[in-house]
Amino acid sequence: MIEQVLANGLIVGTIYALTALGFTIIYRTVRFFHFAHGVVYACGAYFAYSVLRIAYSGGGPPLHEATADLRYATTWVVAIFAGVIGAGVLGVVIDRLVYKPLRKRKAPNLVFLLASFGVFIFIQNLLQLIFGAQILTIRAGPVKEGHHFLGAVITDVQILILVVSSLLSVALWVFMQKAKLGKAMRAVADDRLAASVVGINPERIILAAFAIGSALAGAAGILISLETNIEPTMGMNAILKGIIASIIGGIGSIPGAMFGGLFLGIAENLGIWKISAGWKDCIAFVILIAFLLLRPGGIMGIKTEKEQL
Amino acid sequence: MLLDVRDLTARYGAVVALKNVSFHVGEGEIVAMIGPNGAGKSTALKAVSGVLQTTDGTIENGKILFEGKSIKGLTTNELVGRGISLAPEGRRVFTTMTVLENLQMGAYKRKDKASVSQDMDMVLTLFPPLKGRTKQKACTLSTGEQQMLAIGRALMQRPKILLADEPSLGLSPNFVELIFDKFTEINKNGTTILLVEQNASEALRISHRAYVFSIGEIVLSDSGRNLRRNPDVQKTFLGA
Ligand SMILES: Nc1ncnc2c1ncn2[C@@H]1O[C@H](COP(=O)(O)OP(=O)(O)OP(=O)(O)O)[C@@H](O)[C@H]1O
Ligand SMILES: [Mg+2]
Repeated sequence: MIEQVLANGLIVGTIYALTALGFTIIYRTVRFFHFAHGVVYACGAYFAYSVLRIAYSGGGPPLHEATADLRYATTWVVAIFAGVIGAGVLGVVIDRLVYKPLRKRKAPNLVFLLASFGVFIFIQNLLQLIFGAQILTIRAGPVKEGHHFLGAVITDVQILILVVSSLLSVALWVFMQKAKLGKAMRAVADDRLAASVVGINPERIILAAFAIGSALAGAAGILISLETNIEPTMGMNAILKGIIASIIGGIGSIPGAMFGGLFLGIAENLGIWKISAGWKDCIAFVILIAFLLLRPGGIMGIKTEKEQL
Repeated sequence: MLLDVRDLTARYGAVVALKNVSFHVGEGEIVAMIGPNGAGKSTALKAVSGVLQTTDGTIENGKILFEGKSIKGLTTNELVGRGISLAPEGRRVFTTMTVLENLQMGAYKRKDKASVSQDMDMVLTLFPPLKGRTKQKACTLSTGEQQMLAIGRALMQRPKILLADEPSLGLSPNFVELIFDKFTEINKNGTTILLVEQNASEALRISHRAYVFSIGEIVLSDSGRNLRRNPDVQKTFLGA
């Protein structure tokens, strides 16, 4: 039983980690809470859904059949690209349309946070208007029996989630360490003024952060919708968990976002197992408060005195 | 004339930090700016390097000409492309990045890989303490080593003019002398230097010319040697 609990925790944890990573990449660069990240995540799922819906009126083909039929596979590839790239573009558009004008006016952080809530609600309502408030699904077809692995049962889809999100996390980490743009993004996160003094254009880095961070949110939204249903309000839970994971990992830290996500996923599932499923979200907040009180720097021990919301 | 600043007035909100200040720097010169705290020396460097606008400051009027062209209003990252490079007050190295990465970031705008790696060697030779520490995070360096890194990072841009704001801040006397000797060396290799300093005696020792600031104005300007002999300067800045 504990094996299954850990496996479930790990799977949902990688999704939290992806959401937290995207959130963190953006937070490090702009230094405010981009709450609308949650709705970008939802849009990723809806973009993919739309492609499948257009290709097959009445829901997409089952993913596990995609490997058998080349036509299915192509549609899925297109759908995933639409979701990931669409989300990336959406993040950039939000920045250019809403945050950039605020930056020009040197607005205080609270204004950015409020604007971000506004964007969140606006786009969420837009999703409701276009797709309706009801639950939709992009994982058509029967649920296949899972594989037995170290005492846990894991489905093909769950393996896919694990592999893809791990690969994305590692790829991001390598990019940030090795690529010139990744280094420049770290430089801006480290010291914005010093970054411009060496010739880095902060606006370009902000653009890259929104593009990459939002694409990660889109990927997370698609991955989760392979496992559960999609609905317009799905972004709220996602961003709350993403932010909690970022804070317990150590706000602004990339490894922190990864560990925080995994930690949160596993802790939540242990809680569900020991207490009850109804307490899931409560457990997340209890963990958050415990960290804020006992270890405000998070797992990575980030110094927070300079940070503000 | 490499840099020519005329009638510059700059303010932070209601605070006027510079009033009609004019100064210039010729190619190949080392020019120093000295003066008491709050006199406006850093503001002058910030205005030239474009940092002023990003730190709540504004240039109210005046001209800033670099190689004969106006550079007023250009952003800091654009000015780097023109050959103006700042080693800011308080070092501001990237503390979470390694020494090597800091230097690489210094060359961010440059595409010529071969000469970048040449300059990397040059900087590491100029500052031997950095050489064995290229893999170390910058936050693990001592203040003096961080100052070397800040100057080295600015040099990695291969600037036409190096602006240095209080490079001797927080350094022990031996180190101060060393840093200033390095400036002479950098200058001999062809880089023009504009220097802001609290340590007037060292600054005047190495500079060709100097400006004395007081409450937002330039009150004196002469060669470094003459200023060192000036009784007023001696009384106020050289502790004589
Ligand atoms: N960001 C700022 N906002 C408001 N006022 C500022 C700011 N920066 C500097 N000032 C004010 O502008 C004036 C000039 O400051 P500046 O930093 O140029 O002095 P300085 O000559 O470099 O002094 P120091 O030797 O202490 O570094 C001071 O009165 C200072 O209080
Ligand atoms: Mg100063």
